Amino acid sequence: MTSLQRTAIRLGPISIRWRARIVLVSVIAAVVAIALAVIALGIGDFRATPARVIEVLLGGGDRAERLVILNIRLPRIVIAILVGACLAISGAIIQTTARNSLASPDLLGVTTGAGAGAVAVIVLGGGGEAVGILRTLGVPAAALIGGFAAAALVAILLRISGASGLRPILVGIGVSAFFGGLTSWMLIAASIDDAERATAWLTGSLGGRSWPEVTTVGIALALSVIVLVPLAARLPTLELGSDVAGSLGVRVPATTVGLLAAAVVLAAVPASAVGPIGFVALVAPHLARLACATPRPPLVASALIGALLLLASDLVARVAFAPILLPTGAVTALVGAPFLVWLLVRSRKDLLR
Amino acid sequence: MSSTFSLSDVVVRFGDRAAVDGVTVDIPRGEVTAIVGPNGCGKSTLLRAMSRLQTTDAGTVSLDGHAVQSIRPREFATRVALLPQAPLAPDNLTVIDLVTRGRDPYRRWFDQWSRTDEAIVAEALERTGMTEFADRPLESLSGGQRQRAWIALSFAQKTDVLLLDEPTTYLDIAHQLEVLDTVRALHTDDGVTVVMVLHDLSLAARYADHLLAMRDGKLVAAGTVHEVVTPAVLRDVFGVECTVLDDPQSGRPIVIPRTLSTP
Repeated sequence: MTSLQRTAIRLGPISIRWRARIVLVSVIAAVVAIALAVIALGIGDFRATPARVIEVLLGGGDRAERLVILNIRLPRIVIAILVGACLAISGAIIQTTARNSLASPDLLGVTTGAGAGAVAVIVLGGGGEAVGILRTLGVPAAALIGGFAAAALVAILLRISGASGLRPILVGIGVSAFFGGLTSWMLIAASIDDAERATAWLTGSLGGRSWPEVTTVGIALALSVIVLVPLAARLPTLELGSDVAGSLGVRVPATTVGLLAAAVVLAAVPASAVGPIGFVALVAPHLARLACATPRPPLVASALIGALLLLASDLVARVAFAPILLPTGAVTALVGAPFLVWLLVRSRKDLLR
Repeated sequence: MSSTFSLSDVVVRFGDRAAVDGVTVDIPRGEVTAIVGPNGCGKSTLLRAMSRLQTTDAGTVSLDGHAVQSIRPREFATRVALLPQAPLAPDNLTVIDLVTRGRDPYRRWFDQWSRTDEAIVAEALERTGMTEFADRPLESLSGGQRQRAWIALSFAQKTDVLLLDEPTTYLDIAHQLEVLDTVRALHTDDGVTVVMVLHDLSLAARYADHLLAMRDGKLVAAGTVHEVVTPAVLRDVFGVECTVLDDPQSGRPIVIPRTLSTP
């Protein structure tokens, strides 16, 4: 009965169950992420030792150091952490709710849908003049609409075809192709300037992002977490299948819709801020699940591992071929694509049903 | 006091076909009832209609006088537990993690693991003989043990009605007895009303007090085991000529199928 007694913290009506291994994995991921962030803040044309970076962060340093580290590099680091966390939570929720280890917002076409929405605003909205408001409000809103449209399309198609095995991925490819085509058409129809701006955005890069984007993603993450705290408590039960969950008193359709809506927000808003970043949403939850040895990816651990993953990818993107900067999305794809292949090979028996 | 179901003229349609076609019956309180019949006769659909998972197209299913669809899901889950046929657990899920979910209807999101939860989960494991397997992943267990873990989940719900859809599917004979003995013991000790769908007639005759026999969505016979397990009813329900004997040990009927009935 050891596993029964030792793992609860109780305070009046509140009781929390925790597992040493999940806490350990989360703490390690957080510590490594912080260390990596400090190192990344000091790397670039202007170099600073980690000790110096910490001093600047705490209010020290000269004007040049403060300008480079706080104004130029810090937003990029913070947005990497936030976007990584958002994507990982989104992926973890979609995987668990769909009971399919291959389901993730990028593979299902949600990210491409968000991309089409964002490009529509950049291109058709004449983003040139109204950059300020459009970038902080218009693009995220359009990305949300695009993301939800793609998610709704996937949901309808899966309802018709069934959602087991490889079907979600195949439907996702179709939906992605549709929204990708839409995006290409808009780029052709757009003026050269707008098209160039949109193309730069579409490669998925953390470069050139600043505090407005950080705020947008931060708000999306905060709101989603508020919604998710009560809803996520139902995830372990939902994972037993809709019949069992229903007989345990879960309002299955409402809960599922709420969870998936939060997941779409967590995929679409980051996409609007930094462009499509592939594979983090797929890989981070799997790493969290494997590291914690749990049946489903724990959300907090997934978020921290996602943040760490994107921080590391962005660092590689910045330094690997310096002074040439790679798009961050290219690095995550280089790591993520082999991982997807490995998942497909490993689970092929289950998927061929 | 145990709860009970009352069904009145219940119809469930899938497209043009009526899977359940006008069933009216009261489920006896505090007894073990088995629903039997050939494949596709609507027995699982009827059970799902009782469990709220299946909405009915006509008629009412009520629990202690209240239509089941009008009862709030969480409250319903504290009164009726359903174990679906061959439920699938995710990989790596341990027995204790599964059984813990049975406390869900009683929990708020900030209350994940109270002392009551702990005591009831321990009791559920004990009563189903699963204590020693508490920390084992489900996929490492035998079919019978796995099914007992699912029954422990339902037990942890602390309901006074337990619905089981084909609890012995895919199990060999020893495991079938293991599972049904566990169910029977829960019934005897706690007075839980049990309703289960069984396609195996001899198991139904052995473990149930009361039988409902269905064919083509209609209720053909309802009554005690001895009233329902007769050559005439079996001919109507399964289209098979049988000899029915009494087991000298248990006093329960034994069915010996002879030939297909000529229509």
